Amino acid sequence: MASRTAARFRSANNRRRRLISLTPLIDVVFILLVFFMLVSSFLDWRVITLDSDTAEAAASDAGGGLLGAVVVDIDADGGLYLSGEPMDLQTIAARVEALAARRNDLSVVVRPAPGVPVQGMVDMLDLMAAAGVVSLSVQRAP
Amino acid sequence: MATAWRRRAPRQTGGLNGDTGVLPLINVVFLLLIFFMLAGQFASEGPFPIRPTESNSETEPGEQDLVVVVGPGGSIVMGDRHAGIDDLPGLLAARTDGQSTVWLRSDAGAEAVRVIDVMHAIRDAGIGEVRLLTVLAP
Repeated sequence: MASRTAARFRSANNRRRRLISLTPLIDVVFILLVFFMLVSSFLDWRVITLDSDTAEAAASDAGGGLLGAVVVDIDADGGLYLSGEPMDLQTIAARVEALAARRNDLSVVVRPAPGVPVQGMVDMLDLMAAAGVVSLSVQRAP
Repeated sequence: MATAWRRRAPRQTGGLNGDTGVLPLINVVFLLLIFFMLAGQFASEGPFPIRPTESNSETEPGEQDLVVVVGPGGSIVMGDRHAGIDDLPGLLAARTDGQSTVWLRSDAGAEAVRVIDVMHAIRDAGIGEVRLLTVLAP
């Protein structure tokens, strides 16, 4: 009786050992998992398309391309100017919104001073887009 | 009662001796693997990590063939090689064959005037459209 159960166990063990072991599979799957975890990024990229014509014209003939455009200057210490007039953010947003409501083809040029980070410039572009301006461009302050 | 014990005993030893104990683990690992394979994109970060600029823009970027990266210190990388602001138009003109769009990815803390200089260099290379890559602000 005891020898028969032992024999049955041994044959069961042999049968199990002949099957492919799961351990190497798990190793490979783990390595794949670590690879994909390290290499994948979940950043949701979007774009801001900038109007090249205005900026190019403005750069080529100084002032020519700025005719009819509203210029927003950003100071290095965060000061904002609308067409040369110092103003706070809310006033600029309200004025530009009023202008954009009157003129569909209103173009706005954002001019960051040296020292302003890209995020500051993009925040201003966001604000202008939210105010309804379609034609946006950036330019280096003279 | 005794029969119940005898019937359960082989199943228990089989579970402990064999690989059946790790099956839930493998299931979870497989699910994680499939999730990362499907949901993630291959990161093409360039040679240095950048802090992406955030904006509320909703426009999809499309296929990014030619990306110029501006690093936190203002260093410029096109493709996988560093470039100076002066040799950027030449490099771009050599790389672009008839395409008219360049994607610009910039560190949020880089100087805006530096990025504008890079935009001008891209335009000097005869490329009409520059798209500034941002991520959605939370």
